[in-house]
Amino acid sequence: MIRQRIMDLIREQLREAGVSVPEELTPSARFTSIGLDSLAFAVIIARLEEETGLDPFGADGAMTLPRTIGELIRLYDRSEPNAPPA
Amino acid sequence: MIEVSRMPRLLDYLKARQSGEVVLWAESGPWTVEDIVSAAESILAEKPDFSGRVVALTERDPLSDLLRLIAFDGRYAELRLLPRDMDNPSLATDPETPEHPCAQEQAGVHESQWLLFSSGTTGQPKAIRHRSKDLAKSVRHRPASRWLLTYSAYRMAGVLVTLQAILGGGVLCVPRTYEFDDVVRIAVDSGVDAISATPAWWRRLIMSGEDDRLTLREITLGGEIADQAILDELARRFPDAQLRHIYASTELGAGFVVRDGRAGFPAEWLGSDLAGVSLEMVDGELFVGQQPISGEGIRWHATGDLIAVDSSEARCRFLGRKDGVINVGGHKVHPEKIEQVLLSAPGIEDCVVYGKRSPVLGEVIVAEVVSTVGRGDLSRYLEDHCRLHLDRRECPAVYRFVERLQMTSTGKRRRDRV
Repeated sequence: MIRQRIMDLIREQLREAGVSVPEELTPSARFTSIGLDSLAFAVIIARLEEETGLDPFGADGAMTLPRTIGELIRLYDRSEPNAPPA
Repeated sequence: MIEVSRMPRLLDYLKARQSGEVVLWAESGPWTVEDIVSAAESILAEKPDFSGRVVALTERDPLSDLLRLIAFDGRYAELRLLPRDMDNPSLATDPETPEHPCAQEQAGVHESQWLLFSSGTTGQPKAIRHRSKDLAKSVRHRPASRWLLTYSAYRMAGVLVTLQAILGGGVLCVPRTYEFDDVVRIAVDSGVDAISATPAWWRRLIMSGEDDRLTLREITLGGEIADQAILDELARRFPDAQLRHIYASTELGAGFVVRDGRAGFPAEWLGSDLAGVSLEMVDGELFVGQQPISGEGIRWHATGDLIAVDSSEARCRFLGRKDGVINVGGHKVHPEKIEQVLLSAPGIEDCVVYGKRSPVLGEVIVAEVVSTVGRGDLSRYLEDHCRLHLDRRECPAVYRFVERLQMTSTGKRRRDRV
């Protein structure tokens, strides 16, 4: 389940950056407010692509950069092959 | 437009601006012409001996770096601008570059040479000497603009923004540090309307949501490849702003500017003259020729940037670095260094490091690893190992475990982008 994997990767990156991991990561949490910087974010995106082959930021250049955990999850939900039509 | 060929020293230029006019905006608030002149004069008073031909300025904090630059420009024949992270202090006193004839001028009143350091193709900083008037060549008269300093004042990109703000008649907004939060805070507090930053910085701004608090008239991207996605996103969020990406480097200064909002540059620019700058493609590499302001003939620079022409769109696009240098959000990473660190870990037989496209940072680092032990927890172990020996930005984002590395026909590791 990609949602779970995203949460795990976020926790892992926060731990590695020495940032205290919030008890609960809510979908509305902004990356900046939980202390996830752009380097950590880039690592998460690269690992997700490596593990799942999904690249929601790929060819179609008109994407919008996500600001919250929920926005990131939606991007991947939409790009999964069996996703319901948006 | 100022007459750059007769550029006075920065302090004289400031004195010629209207009294009471705001020139800098720092954490403490606005700084008028008089504030800066008196700060510069007290810096000079502390160091009354101008018989020294060279002064080396080591980066401290953005405001004091700027004030020292303003104070010393024109007082010494040469200003050496030493970035904080430069790990070769011997260069502070003995740069191995030929002396420019102007450096022999009498002490007292000068047109200073500015010595800037690039990160160098082998990882060793390389000293590049510029005349301030050459650096000021790209300055445009923009009296009402408020510029944000996102780059170190002692690196080429920061120098260009500084000169633009001060000589162009605008205001330079100076953060407490170059940490993202500090930079954004001063941008919002001071009402910045012109920002020059790396694509990675712009993406970070958008993801932070802080862009909603800014009204921008001028947007510049530089320092790494500006891709179409970030150009489109910025055009959508700031429809009234002029959008441009700039090709600049420590060697070139400001090279050329693309204003049509599209990635790369028009293919017809190859082989033609663009206001003193000429572009050529040689074996897939971009060469930039420059006409020095008072020199004769064109000086050609091999940029190390690989380009290709997309003939269907008549567009020239950037592919990456010839020397394999990986650009992680404007931070240059040498793959050889990472490979050496990985090879020092037990159980690693061989490895190759290269860049992978990243929608956030331009590129991130991939390590392909041949291991004598099972992969098991090896990637976790390698992550720890790298974190111990490398800067965060140098640590691979992704590990791939392979049976053997691909080699080129001459037996070298293949670093082609995958």
